[in-house]
Amino acid sequence: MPDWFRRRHAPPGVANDSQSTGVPDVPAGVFTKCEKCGRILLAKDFERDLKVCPRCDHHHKLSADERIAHVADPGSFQEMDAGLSSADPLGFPDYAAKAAKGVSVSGRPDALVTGTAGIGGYACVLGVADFRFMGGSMGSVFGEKFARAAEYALDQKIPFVVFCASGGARMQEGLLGLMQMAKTSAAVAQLAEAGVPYVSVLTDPTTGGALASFASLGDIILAEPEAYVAFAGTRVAQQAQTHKPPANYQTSEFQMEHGMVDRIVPRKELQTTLVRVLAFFGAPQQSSPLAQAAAAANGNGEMGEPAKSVGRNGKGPH
Amino acid sequence: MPSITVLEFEKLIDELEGNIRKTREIAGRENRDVGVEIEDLEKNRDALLREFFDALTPWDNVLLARHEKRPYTLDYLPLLFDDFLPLHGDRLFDDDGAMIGGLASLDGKPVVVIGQQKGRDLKERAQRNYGYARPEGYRKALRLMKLAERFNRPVITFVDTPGADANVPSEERGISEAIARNLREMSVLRTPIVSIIIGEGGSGGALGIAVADRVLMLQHAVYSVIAPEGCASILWRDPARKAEAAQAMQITARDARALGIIDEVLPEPLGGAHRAPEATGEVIKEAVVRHLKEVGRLSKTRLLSSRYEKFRSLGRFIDPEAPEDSATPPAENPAVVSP
Repeated sequence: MPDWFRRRHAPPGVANDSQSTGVPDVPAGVFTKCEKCGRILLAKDFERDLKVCPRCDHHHKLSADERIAHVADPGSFQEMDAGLSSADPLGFPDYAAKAAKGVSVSGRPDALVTGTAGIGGYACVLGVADFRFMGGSMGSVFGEKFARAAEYALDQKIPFVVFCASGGARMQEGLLGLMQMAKTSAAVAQLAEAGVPYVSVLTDPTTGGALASFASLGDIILAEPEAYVAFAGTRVAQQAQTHKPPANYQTSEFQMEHGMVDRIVPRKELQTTLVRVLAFFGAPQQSSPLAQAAAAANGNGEMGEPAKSVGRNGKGPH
Repeated sequence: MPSITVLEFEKLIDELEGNIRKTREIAGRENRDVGVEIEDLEKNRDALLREFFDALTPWDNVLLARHEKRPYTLDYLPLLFDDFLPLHGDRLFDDDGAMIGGLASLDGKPVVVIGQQKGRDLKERAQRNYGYARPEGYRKALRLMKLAERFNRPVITFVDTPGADANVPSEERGISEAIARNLREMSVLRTPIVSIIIGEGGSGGALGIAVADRVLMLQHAVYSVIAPEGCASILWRDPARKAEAAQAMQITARDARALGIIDEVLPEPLGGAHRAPEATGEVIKEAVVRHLKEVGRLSKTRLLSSRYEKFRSLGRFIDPEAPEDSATPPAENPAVVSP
């Protein structure tokens, strides 16, 4: 290619950082770029599009707060058990430092955020994993908050909706990490036995112990497009792989093709899809957080019987 | 801390035992009485074994748990049960050689037995997929557990797997779903379940048949969230640091007991289960019978609620709002609760 066709200068406002990433870097604030195709996007358009690239449809990871803002009715989310944090039970090398980094990056004390919410007016308990906290991994806090949230849903007889973004059991908690698979699955079993709906939404990534426990147990399992959904992560699987994997191996699409996922839902349709699912389940209506609180106080609201003892420690959302 | 691994140590013991054998042979040929010498040699051997086994590293336990001579599920069955009747297939797709199961009687009482099975020789290892169970294995296990539930028979599971199979066909057929379903269904199975970790308790693949009322573990077995090599390669990008990872993850039976993950450590004969499988089988049988008797006394409601509580309570974290009297915190950190 003749040299004069090459771009010698970066476009205005775009710093050229192609050496490290192959994609031009951009200043924070005004522009952002697609992680997958490198397209430069106006930050405000990117936010408006729920962090989905308009060119390649790549669904960028969302924080728990972004996810809640997207699916929950405005102002309806009331967080539960926000103070639980990990205790480094094994004194595992670097765990404390990694957890501290997770706190500063995600602004949360651990990888799962739970609370009550309305989705299209339907009351539910919502759990959202935040990948930025140690890869959304399942430690004791994750399992405990999941179980408390499930028990609250059971108590209130309202659906439990969980967004998974998790690399699996948290190695730094050893067997306690592994046991969160049993703990979350046992909590889901309680819902199943009582006929309380449980909806699982697989987002990028859902792997290992998360997929091999609560994430695969939804009465309905939805997934975002092209999310990485796998039993064994690439580095683990390399040692085991003896068959040639297909091109879409370990994506949402692959999992749906093989019958493991009910439906792939683009992010912009997720909220409305959830509303339809909750409508099918006949979830109780939640007119507004205020009305909900009033109903609970009166002991005679649309939310069903008020909780006499809410959650494990007698505490509801706060 | 010993500077050699248990496998290297075993070679020394083998040499010593070779010497004992030779001394016996020579004495027999020459018609000499060497009783005292042999007794000394054997004492010497046992002292060495004791000394070494008192200082086993977690990695040594990994090597013992994976020992090629270690008794597998099928070795224990005749030692524990009369007339094991193997049953095959998941009724959906296939029969998994890495997961065996069937009917048996334990002291005359009918039970369902399920176990992960590794192979002894090359051919059997291939047939059993090196103990990596596939989705069909977990589904077969669940089918047999449901059978036990329907006819009110206890379930006994033997855990011995490096992990669940992670190859393409297993991913295609939903290995994650199969394990997840077992976790959910076992937590509400209306019949007593006792699990014994006899060798490798490899991650979700092990847990997939180990959500039990009582979880027992042989002294030198290991139980871990991920194989030490996998942990080392993910955390440090260096699988060679496996011994360090084994140490950090606290994967021994003693560790698992201290964390409240298992209910009892079953002692192995000096030198490991492979040196005396029959004696090990007796220890397992005594414990299984005792635990089944205990959980068998519970009503179905109690059985299920205590099983739920057992797994519900696993976890250690800091809860700033926990009422003072809601938990018994470990002494070293009053803020840490095990609910």
